[in-house]
Amino acid sequence: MGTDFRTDSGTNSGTNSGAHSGPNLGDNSGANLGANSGTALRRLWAELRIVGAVVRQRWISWKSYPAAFYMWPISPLASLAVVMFMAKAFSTVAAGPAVSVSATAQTIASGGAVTDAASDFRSFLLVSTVLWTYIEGQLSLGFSIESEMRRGTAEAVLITPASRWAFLTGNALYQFIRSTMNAVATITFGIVFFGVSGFLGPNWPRTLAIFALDLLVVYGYGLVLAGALVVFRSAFFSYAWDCLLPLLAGSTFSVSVLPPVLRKVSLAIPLTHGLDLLRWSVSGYPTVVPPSTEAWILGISAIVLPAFGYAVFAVLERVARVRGTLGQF
Amino acid sequence: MGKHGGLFLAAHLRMALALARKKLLQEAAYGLQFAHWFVTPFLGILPYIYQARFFSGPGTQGAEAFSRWAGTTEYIAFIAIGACLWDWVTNLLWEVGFSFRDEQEEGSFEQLWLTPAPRWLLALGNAAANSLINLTMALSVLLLVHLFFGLPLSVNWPLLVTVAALSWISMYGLGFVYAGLVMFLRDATHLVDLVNRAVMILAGVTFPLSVLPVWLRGMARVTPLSWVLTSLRSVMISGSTWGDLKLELTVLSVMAVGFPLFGYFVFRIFETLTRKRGALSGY
Repeated sequence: MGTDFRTDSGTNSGTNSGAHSGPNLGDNSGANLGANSGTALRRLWAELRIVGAVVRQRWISWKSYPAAFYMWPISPLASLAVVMFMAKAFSTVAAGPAVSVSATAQTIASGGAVTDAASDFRSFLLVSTVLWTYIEGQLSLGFSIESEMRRGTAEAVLITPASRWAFLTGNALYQFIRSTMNAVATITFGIVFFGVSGFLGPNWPRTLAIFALDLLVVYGYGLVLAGALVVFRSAFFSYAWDCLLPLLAGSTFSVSVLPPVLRKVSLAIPLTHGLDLLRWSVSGYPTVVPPSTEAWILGISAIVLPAFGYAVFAVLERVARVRGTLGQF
Repeated sequence: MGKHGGLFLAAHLRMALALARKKLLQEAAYGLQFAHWFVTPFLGILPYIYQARFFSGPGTQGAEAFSRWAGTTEYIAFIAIGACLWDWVTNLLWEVGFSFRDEQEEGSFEQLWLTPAPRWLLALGNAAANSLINLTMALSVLLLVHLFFGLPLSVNWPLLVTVAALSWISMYGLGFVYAGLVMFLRDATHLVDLVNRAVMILAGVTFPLSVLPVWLRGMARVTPLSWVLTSLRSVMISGSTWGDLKLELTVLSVMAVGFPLFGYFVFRIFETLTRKRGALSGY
């Protein structure tokens, strides 16, 4: 019995630990690792497909309105033209048919607001307008959810097994594509109609890096606003922020012209520094605080704000789920 | 006959009031959205004002340069009033169109359209509430701009009311064209944005029309909104008199008679086309 037991035990033990446990451990861990990585890859692929599906759905929806789809370049042209013509109205040089915005830069320079900067003021306006197309795009995340709510499809979309990440990223990616189309059109119009040259400035890698960080910051804002919309069932915050941000962040002007109280609020908004830094990089326009400080503020905000925005959206969406108001509008 | 006529009119009035009441109740149900109508237009004007300050610079050179184009150094008044009136006019223009779009999105458009109520009444009744909101909004924004920026208003009030009334009728008439387009093309938001932005250039909302290239200036002259804005601005900033605005008043009067007729005619064409497509309830 003892022997048998020992033998069995030993055998079993040996078998289990050696022949069984050992190979199993190896097989299982390998298989598990393989399975886990396979599952992770499949999950990632599924998420990416959802992102693609959201983008495709939004694109098809836009395309189904031919008037809007085929006339889209009017919007970026008009946005740029309004600011360029407005600048021309303050030009000290009687300009001919072409816009002489560089003369406006001279006006500002001679007035003392700018000393030796803004050598090409048109770049200043163009880069501001281009970045603003992306900002508007990302802020409209809230509007896209409002649209789903208004059409009665928000609840259906938000309670599917698809992750929030995929849904929001799909919407953000769609907005990014649309904004890029607008940006390309704006730059083309700027070059062709308004004679802008050297759009990205001499240090274009730096400019592009600042641009990317700005987009991350705005994505964070967009997520918070989307969350607010889900709970409050109103795009009020999106509309209000959409109106406030151009003022407080200085969409196409330096916040140095704001009254002291507003300037303090403005400097507390990371995007103000992002815009300021971008314009400094493109046209050498003086920043409101030292560029290195603005770079730190922008860098930290670009990491913190998207994560914060996602967390806020998750919490607010959960509140709406618990209240059972996802389908209401 | 007289009695029937009176009943007919009373029924129409009741319909219009019911529609207006429904719209106001709907707006009031979304408290924050309701607040948005009064707060955001003022916020929307501020970036233009500070943009102008930035372009002008701290000295007087910028303002003097501006006066060469606009005829006034009061560029803040010029831009603030322009932007405020622009909001008012574009809202007027889109009120009719948007009212149908909302019904389409909420799925009640076809039912509403198949009632025995006349089409024009449906359009006007729905828009009456919007007009009330719009007027309150415009006045509150003007008041805020006046309080914060001390606009030098020298207004001939009877002339202002006349110009505003003629503008209101013209833009409402033109609104029927947009309403028809919205019904036919289904989506208004993108179209609103595109047309608004394009017309913003031609109407000279934030800059004097004289800065436009010659060929664009020609187009601006035939844009109804530029006449409306120029006239209202003249009355409110320059203190223009009846005699100063003879041409503008004539043009606005012609528009006030012609646009409603033209608008309704075009609207009926779009309505027929939409019906034939069986797309009244689609959006």
